Amino acid sequence: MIRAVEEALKGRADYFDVRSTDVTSTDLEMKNNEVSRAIAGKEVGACVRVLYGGAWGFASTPDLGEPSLKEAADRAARMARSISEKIGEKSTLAPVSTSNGTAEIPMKKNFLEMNIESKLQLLESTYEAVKDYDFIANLTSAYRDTYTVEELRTSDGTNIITKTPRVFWELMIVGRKDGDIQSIRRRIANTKGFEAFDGGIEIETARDAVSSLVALLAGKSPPSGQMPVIADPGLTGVFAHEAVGHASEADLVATGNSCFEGMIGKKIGNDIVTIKDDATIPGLFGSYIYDDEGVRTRTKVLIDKGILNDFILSRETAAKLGMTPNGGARAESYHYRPIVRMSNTYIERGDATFQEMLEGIKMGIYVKDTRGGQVNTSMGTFQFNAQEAYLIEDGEIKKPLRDVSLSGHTLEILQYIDLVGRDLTLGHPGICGKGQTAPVGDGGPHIRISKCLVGGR
Amino acid sequence: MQDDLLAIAKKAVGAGTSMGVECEAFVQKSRHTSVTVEGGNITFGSLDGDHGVGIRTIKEGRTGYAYCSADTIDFGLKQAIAVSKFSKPGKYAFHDDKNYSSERSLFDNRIASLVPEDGIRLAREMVDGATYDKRALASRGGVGFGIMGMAIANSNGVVAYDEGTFISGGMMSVIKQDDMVSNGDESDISRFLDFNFDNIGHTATERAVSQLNQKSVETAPMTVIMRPSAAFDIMCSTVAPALYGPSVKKGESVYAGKIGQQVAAANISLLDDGTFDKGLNTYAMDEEGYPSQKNVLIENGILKMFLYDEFSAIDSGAKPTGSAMHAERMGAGTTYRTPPVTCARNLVLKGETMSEEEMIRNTRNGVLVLDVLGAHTANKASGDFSVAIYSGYAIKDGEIAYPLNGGMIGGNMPGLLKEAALADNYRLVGAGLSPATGYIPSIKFENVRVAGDQ
Repeated sequence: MIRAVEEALKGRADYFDVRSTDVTSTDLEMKNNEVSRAIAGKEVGACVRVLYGGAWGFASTPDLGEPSLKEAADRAARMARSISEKIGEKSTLAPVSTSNGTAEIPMKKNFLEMNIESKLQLLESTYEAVKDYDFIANLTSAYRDTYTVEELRTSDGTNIITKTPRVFWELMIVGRKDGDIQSIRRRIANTKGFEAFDGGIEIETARDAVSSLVALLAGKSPPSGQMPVIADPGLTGVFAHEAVGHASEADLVATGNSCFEGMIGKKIGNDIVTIKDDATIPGLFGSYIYDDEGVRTRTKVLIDKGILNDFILSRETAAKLGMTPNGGARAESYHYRPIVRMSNTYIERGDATFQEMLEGIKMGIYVKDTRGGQVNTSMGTFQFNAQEAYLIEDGEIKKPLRDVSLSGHTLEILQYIDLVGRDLTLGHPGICGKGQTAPVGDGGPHIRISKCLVGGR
Repeated sequence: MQDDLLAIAKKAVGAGTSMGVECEAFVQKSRHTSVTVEGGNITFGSLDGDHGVGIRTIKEGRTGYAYCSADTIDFGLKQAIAVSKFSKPGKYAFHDDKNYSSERSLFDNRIASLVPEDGIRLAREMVDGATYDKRALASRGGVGFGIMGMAIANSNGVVAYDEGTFISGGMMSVIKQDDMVSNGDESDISRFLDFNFDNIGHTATERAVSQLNQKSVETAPMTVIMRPSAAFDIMCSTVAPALYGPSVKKGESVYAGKIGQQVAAANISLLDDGTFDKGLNTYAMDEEGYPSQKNVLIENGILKMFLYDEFSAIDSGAKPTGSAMHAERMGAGTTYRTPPVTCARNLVLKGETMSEEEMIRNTRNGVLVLDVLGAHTANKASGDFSVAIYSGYAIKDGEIAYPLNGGMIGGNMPGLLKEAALADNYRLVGAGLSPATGYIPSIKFENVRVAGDQ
């Protein structure tokens, strides 16, 4: 295969790679106790990426046959040549050592060998666990697994096969009380086999969701304006992801689109703040071994004790910024080129207790878990939304709130984190969108932000 | 493309019939070229495409769905039949409505004949437009264009085909001056090659310039004028899903039981028009082959109807409304990999309008919001939202006073619509996480909760 492409690209590529993927998936959904979706799918495809004269061309094909691959290579080369004709700054690649062999993430319970019935049981047990609460109007649960076999061959000698299992479970409950509708979501997702659900973790999580829903249905609108905020590990994780992780993506840094540009080595946060992006922690939803450029990934300490220390890098952005690639280039599928992405982003633990955080807060908010967030990386403005929240008055947690969102500026808020908890919870899964989607994880301890902008409806 | 796709759809239905099941096939083929701008340079170009078949079967009242390639139709059919045994039986049947309008497809031959070099040229026009002000960096953006064709057939005699063209451009300009950073965004999308790429870059930079010297907004309830992209972003996570029949049936819609009641300002109507002549989702039929139609959802403020795909219509005892789309889970597109669901196609707001300038002149204290962050975090069940201002301006005594340094706005979108007013600056807009698109102007809302540093 690679020879055919090599021949097709003779003299037309300074670098090229061919990435082929084979994805087997199961996608199930139940609405209450009825199966509303059951899809078993298999999809193969390949793409060719060509760097010529400092310009990139890319083409994909769903057909792995030699003629199709050669044609894709030809189209990618033509695109690269056209762009190179009037190129300004040329793209180059930072050197890396080549990767070879097979890297397989093992499954203890192989979901490829399970039938749909046994996977549906997971959703049935979820329903059974919470069906009797009369304020639950609807329950939607979903399960998805994907097994991705990817082969990457590059013109500089890498030939690596990766095999990656991922499982994803999601529960959405809608509750109604006195004409009011509220919803709550929970997710469990891992880079592993069906053992992710050992011990009935989905039942425990579903019950926890119900108790959150009770609080939401009793919740009031929050006060607005600047105030102290305590974030739980779920929300701390989203903060790490939205406010810090995105601004640390080297493609944004290199294109004038990050508030972290030119700030490596500078103090940007309180001493107690250390933030990492780490794909090497086994089993988390954002974990992997080699990125989609064949670079073995390593732990990225983005902020080390308040000092900006590293970015998340692809080979191209590493060359542009004069840094060393750290395996941060990921592609959603063979339809896309790899771009700089996060993996598992989290704040490292500190030494404060939850009680210490509460002390001294006259009026503030305790926020838990999230429905998501978004960021403007160039100016560092971020928004994220809490699923659940409580008013803090005189150092005590008081009444539940609803629809609480937080916003702020990355470079300010990193200074305002005044306490970091001694607890640490990783494994809060997410699906990050940046033109392409990527499975990610985040987490951290409880943290306290001395002042943060709170908005409600 | 037409003959090929129709042949595949018919073949799939024929194979299904011979296996003794009712069958619907959705065959989709797309071709897409994109050219990327990064850091002021054109750096990357992509030629991508997709082609596949979605198969839905009904066997003994149970429905199943699977997807496959044109070469593996038997495999897809068997998968769909195999998984149908898990579904709850119902009185499901495929429709036989073939009353397609004979109007031409929204197809622009100029787009169909564009080559990658054209994309590079248009991207360069955009970069040139953005750098009229030498302080500006054309930070990130791109040009994309392509064709999508689809054929749908079912065992009730439906055979339909349509195709369409698309082109889009987008640019984010960044200006760094002294200690200030600001960015400005602009994008355009159309079925026709009818907009100017130079303008996109130019407008992006103009916005970045106008965003220098930002100040905080005060915390208070006030008038908020939302530009089309901000308003549509929030509406797609609040009002739109509440108008879908399945949400109503599940009791997850604030509009359930409110047909005939006042749900918006008396001079506002909301349509979902699958036949709209500029619409990003306009085709002869929906993605179940049901004829496209114009649905008046809200007429002069009164709620009139909900949207349905063919199976949810059966569940609710209603008629399909031509609102089926194979909506991507987390994206703005449609794909044969997922089964069809109810989704708004081209939401159009109509009613009395005034110019946005006049709206601003009539506002003593308020904000003009261009784009927001976090619309997808809105509460779909209740319609409550609380989002950050991505880009906006303070309005003081009838004039734009200064650009805003963040801040938040929140409220209940279905509630706010009751006191909304429309401007006349209509734009085609898309939503990030749904294939629903719209054609709407700026909207003025009263008593919106605004939170800022002051």
